[in-house]
Amino acid sequence: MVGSLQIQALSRYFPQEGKEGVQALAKVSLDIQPGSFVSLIGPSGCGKSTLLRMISGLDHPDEGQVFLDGKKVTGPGADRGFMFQEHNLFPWMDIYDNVAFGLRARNLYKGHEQEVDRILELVGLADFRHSYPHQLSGGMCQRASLARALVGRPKVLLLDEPLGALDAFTRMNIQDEIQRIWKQEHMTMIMVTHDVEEAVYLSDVIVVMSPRPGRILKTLQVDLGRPRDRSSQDFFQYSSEVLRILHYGGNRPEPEFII
Amino acid sequence: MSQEISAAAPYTLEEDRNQLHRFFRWLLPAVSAGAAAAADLALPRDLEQAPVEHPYFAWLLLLSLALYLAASALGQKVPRVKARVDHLAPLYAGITLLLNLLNLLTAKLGLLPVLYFPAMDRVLAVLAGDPVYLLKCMAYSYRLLFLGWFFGALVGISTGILLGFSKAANYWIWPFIRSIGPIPSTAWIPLVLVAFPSVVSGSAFLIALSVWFPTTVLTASGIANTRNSYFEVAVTLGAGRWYQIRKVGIPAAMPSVFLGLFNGTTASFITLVTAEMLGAKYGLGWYVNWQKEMMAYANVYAGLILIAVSFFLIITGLFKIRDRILVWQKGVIKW
Repeated sequence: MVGSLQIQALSRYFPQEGKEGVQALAKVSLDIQPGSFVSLIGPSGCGKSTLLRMISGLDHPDEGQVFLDGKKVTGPGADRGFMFQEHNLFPWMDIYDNVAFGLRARNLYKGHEQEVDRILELVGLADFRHSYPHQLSGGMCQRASLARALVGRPKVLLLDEPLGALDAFTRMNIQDEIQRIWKQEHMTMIMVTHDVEEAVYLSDVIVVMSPRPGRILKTLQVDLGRPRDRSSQDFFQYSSEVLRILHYGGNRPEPEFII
Repeated sequence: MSQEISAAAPYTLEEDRNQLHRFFRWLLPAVSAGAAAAADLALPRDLEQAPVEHPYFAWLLLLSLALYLAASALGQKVPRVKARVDHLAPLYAGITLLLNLLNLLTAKLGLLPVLYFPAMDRVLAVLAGDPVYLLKCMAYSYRLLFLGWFFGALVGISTGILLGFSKAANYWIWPFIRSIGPIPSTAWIPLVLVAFPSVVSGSAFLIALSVWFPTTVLTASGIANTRNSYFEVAVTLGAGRWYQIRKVGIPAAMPSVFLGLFNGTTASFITLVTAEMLGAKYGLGWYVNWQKEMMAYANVYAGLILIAVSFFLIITGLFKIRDRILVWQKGVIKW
């Protein structure tokens, strides 16, 4: 199985004019098993998004390196799909063209047209292929954005808080879809989130991070069967555990984690 | 029982009133055009106004009335036409009323200086009198305009794209554009007169220059203002630099490009009319200027009408093209 990641001692420092800079990441190392679902969680400024962007190649580490299946990551590539917090669909293309973008950009479209149809079917947007993004709801746009990231069958899908802007019910629906797709497509998924429940619901491994400097506090294995019951005692215990680590980890509890 | 009646009665009354209202609305243009034609044909001509062979203004009114009736009849079959006719009826009636008043002021009462405000009959007589000559003038103007416009737009968009994507181009070319661009293109006339082999090429160059500047600036700014996340999406999907420029940068900048083209087009009209005064042999701008010197104001107005109609059609065409290319903007941006 492909899609294993070795993250070795990544450091990233953002200098700031006139002030002391920010150590976004300090020697962060992490091994990610192929086909696993990993969540990066922690308060703002803990470097989780920076870490994700370095795996994608959108940002470069000052020190350390990332290996995907033993190959060093030097820049963005289609083997790592990226789903942004905002859907960022191209407003001048309809949903079909948005989803087909990756294939066309790499000259793979001819002969793989049915792949676009398959993915549209997978995220439930087959009937909306000719709609433009502004005609769809926020949840549907996020689905389309997921489809666009999935279409080239990347080995790893990186999700940067993709559901943060959605309402609670839409969010839970799309979480189920992401889980279904993850099982069906056998790909490694790494998701940055603020939402403890989301992390426990979806992840095999939860990586809890803390800020100043950004580092990993703990990696937590979630040994629960799927689909998971959000209201079960075990589920609650994992959520409490994550919250506990975060409270002791930070200087003071961040308000966004009080439930 | 009594409640039912009182609830139903005002409804039918309102329905009747609406129908009456619609009918009057429909009648307005016919009344307005009929009144204008009657006034024109019945009232005597002011004696200072030169006589005209035919009552062109009345003919025009009757022609437009016939067109209105035909469109109304067609509207009974085609709902889209009916909606359009209903929408434009008051406007058409208003414009006709305005022309009627103008006709009374000039042709009938002679309240305005006759030399500068000839009767509409005389203006229409110019249009009807030598259409071939006027068409030739239009053709010359169009040729010049399209020649200049095409090259100006082409070079403008290319320069804008170059500036938008290349840091080196930005460094080296931008200072020139900032200093040369704002010079009104007509200020180049003295140089153009000596530098270009023919009046046509020189005039086309001036028009191109006036289209080029706004198009360049707005294309470059459109690209510079494209959300960086669009490029990040593209690069994570494996798009190379050229593909990003073609499929992300340029489409994202299109609304801004069209803004530049609109600015450039209006600037090109000004330049066209001025450039034709350089020593052209035909052309609408040249015609208007020439007739003004001959104090033939009816001909001046005829020329102005043709200029207005031409530019209106060109701008409308550009709008249509924009709506087609920027169909994705509907409901997103309005201007």
